[in-house]
Amino acid sequence: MGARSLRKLTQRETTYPKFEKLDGSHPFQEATFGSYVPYRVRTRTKGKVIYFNFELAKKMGLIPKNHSSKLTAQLEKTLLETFAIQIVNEHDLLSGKAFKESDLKDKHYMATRYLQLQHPSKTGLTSGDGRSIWNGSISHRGTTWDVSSCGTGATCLSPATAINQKFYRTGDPEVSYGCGFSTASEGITDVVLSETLTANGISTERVLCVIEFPNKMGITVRAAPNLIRPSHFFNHLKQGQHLRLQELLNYYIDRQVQNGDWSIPQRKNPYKFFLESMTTTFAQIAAKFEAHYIFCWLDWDGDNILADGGIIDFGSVRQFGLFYHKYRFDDHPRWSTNILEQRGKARYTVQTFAQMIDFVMTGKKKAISEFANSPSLKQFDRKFEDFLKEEFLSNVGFEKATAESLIKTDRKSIEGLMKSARYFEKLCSHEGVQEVADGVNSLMLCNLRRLLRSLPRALILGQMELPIASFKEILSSEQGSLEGLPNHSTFNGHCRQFLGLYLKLIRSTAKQSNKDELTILKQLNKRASIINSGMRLTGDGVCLITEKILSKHSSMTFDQRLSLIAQLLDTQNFNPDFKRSAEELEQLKPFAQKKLDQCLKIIDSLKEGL
Amino acid sequence: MNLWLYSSEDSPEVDSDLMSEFAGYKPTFTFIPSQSYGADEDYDDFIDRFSQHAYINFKIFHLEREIPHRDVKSLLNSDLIYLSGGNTFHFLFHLRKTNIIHDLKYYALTGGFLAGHSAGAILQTPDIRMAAHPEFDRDDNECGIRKLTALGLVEFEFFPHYRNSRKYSLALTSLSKERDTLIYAVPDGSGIVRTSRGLRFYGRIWGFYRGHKFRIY
Repeated sequence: MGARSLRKLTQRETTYPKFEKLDGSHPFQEATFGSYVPYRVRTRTKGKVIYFNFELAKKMGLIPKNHSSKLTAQLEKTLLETFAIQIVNEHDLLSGKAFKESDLKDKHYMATRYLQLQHPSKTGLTSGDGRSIWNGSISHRGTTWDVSSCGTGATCLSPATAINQKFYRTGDPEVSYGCGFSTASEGITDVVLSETLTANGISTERVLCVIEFPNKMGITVRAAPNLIRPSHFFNHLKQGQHLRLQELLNYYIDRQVQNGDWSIPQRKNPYKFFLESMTTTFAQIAAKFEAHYIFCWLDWDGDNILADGGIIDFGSVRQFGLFYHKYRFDDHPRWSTNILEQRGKARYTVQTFAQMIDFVMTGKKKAISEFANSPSLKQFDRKFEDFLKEEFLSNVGFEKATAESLIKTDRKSIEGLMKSARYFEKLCSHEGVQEVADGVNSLMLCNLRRLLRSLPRALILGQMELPIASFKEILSSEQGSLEGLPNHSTFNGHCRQFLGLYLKLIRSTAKQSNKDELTILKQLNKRASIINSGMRLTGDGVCLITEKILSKHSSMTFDQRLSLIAQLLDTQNFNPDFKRSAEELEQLKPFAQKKLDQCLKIIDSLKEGL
Repeated sequence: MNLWLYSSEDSPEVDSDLMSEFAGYKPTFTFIPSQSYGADEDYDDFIDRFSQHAYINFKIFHLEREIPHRDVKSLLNSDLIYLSGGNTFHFLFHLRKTNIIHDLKYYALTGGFLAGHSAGAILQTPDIRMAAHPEFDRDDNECGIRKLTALGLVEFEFFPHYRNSRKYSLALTSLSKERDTLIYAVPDGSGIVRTSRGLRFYGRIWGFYRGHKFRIY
C-alpha cells in the first residue's frame, strides 16, 4: 500500500476517543474484593511506539475500521498518553518522591493478585502482577476486552519483594524482572510469538502496542477478551476465601456470557457449566500443546495460562522444532515442568477447579485428594485423547471432517499409528541431558514433522511402497543423521507399523470418500507439506529474529518494521485452509527482501531447535 | 536429632507441636514426594496443612527428575524435610538411585528436622520390611529391590495405619516373633517423635515385641 497524505485523513482518524476509556478503571475492581492492589500512575517520558497492532485495534474498536496502517503523529501521541505510564510504587512513597500533579493520572490502576509458584509461601498472599498493571477494559461489537501493560513498574507482588521482604525501586538493576521494567525486545518477541501462535489456531493474549524507552526498555501492551487466569481463582481457594472466590467466579462467568463465548442453558447450574467448560478447554489446550510442541510451563498454580486456555506471558513459552521432552527451563531456583508433564498439569488444573466449584457450592473446602476420582477428570481423559487424535490426524494432513470420521471407524489403527509416532518423537540422543542456554535438554534423533511432510510424496513416487531405509532417512533429524538411527527390532518394528497403519488409513479414507488412494495421498501431500513446514519458527529462532528486527531499528522506520513483521508472520501461517485477501497480499509487498531473507535464514538454521 | 514419624497426614496435635519448634521465624519446608504421579496433589495438601499455622517457604524436591547439585544444596539448607507417604519400595528405590538417601541421613544426624508420614516414617527406621506386611495390607515391591535397608535413624520399626483389630493384632504378633526389634503400631492421627530428649508419643500406640502386644502410655 502506498503512502497516504496526512491531508487525506478523515476527521475521525485525527482523534481516538476510545483510548480514553483505558484510564485504569475496570469492572474487576468493583466486582471483587481483595483481588488486586491499586496504584497511582504517572506519565513516562521519552517513549517511542515501535509496534502497533492495527488489525487488533480495529477489532477492539480503538481505531476506525477504515484506518490506514500508518502511525500518524496523533495516533502515536494518543498511544503514548495512554500507555507510556509508570506506577507510583511503595518504594516511591516510602522515599518521599514527589511528582507533579499534572504527571499523575486521575484514577488508580490495578495490579491483580493471583497464585504463583515462584513465591515461597505458595498461598497467594504475596503474589500477582509483579511488573504489570491493567489499563482498563473496552467493549466493541459485543466483546469486552481487557487491556494490561507489562513493564510499568515494580509492584509489591513481585517474587523479589516476597523473598527479600523489601520494596524495590522501579528499575533497580539488582533484580531481574523484579525491577518492574521490561525490554523492547521482550515486547517484539511477544508480538512474533503471539501472532504466530494465534494464526495457527493456538489461542493467546495479543500484543496491542510496544513502546520503547531509552536503554532498550519497553512497555508491552496486551489485550484479550478475558485476562483472568486459573491462578486468580486458586489464590482465593488456597486461602479458603469463599466469598471472594464466589465473587470472582460470578464475575468471570458474566464476562464469558456477555462476550458470547458461553451460552449457559437455562436450567444449568452456572458453576457446573464453568467446570465442564474448563474441563473441555484444558483437555483441548493440553492436546494442542502436545501435538504442536508448544511448551508453556503449565503448572499447578495455573499461572502461565488464561482461564479460557489462552497462552499468556511469553517469557518461558517455546515452540519446539522437535519433541524435546527432556527440556526444562531453569527459573532459578526452580525448574519448570517438561512438555510431557503439561498434560498432567492441565489435568491437575481441572482437578483443582473441581475442588474449587465444590467449595463454592458447599461452603466447605475439602482436600484436593478427594477429587482424584472426580467425573471431570474422567471427562478430561476422554476428551484429551479425542482432541489429541484430531490434532495428530490434522498433522498427518487429513481435513477435520475426514479425521472425525476416521476416529469413529479406525480408532485402533490411529492409536497404533500414534504409538509409533510417539516412540519416534521420544528417541533421545546418546549424548543424554545437557545444559542449554536457559535450562537442560536432550537432542532428539527423529523429526516426525519431516516424516509427515515427506512421506506422502515418497509414497507417490514409490507407488505406494517405501523401503524401511528410505523411511528412516526421511524420519531422521539432523542429530539422527549424525548419530544414526537405531537398527534394532523395536525401532524397525515401529517403522513397519507406522508405514502399515498410515497406508491403512489412506485406504480407509479412499473407501469412505470414493476416491482412489493416489488422490488421497496427493491431498495429504498438499496439506501436510504446509502444516509440517520445515520453516517453522522456534523459540531459539524468535530471540535472534527479534534482535535482527530491533538492531536495525534506528535505520528502520515504523512502517518498515511493521511490514517486516507482517511478512515474517505470513511465512509462519501453517494453516492450509487460510487464504489471504487481495488487499492483504498487496500490503505484504516486501520493502526489503534482504532483511526478510536474513530472518528466514535464521528460521531455517534453527528449525529443529528449542 | 529431630525425627517426626507420623502414621498419616491428619495429626493436628503433632503438627502443632512441630510448628512450635519454628515459632518466631519463617522456616523453609521441603517436601519430597514418593513418586511423581500425584505429587502435585500431595504437595498441595502439604501446603494447605502447614500454611495455616505460619508463614512457611515451601519447596518441592523431585526424585524422579534430573537433580542438579544446587537443588541438593537447597534441600539440605531446609529447616525441615518432609517425606511423603506412598509406595515405600518405590520411594527407597529412588532415594538410593539418586544417592539422596545418604544426604538425608547426614542431614538428620546433624540436627536437621526430618518428618514423614506412612512410607516417609518407615524410611526413618532400620529397614522397610514393615511395608511388605501384613499380606492383606502391604506395598507392592514393583521396583524389585532386594536391599531393604533404610535410613536407620531410629532403632525401632514403625507400622503406620494400624487398626486395633484382631486381624492386625495377630499379624503383628506373629511378625514380632520373627524379629528382634520393637514394632510400634501407630494408628492414623498418631505419631512418634524422637529428639535428643528422648521419645515422645502422640495418640494411642501399641508395641509388639517377641510375640507380645502392649499399649504405650
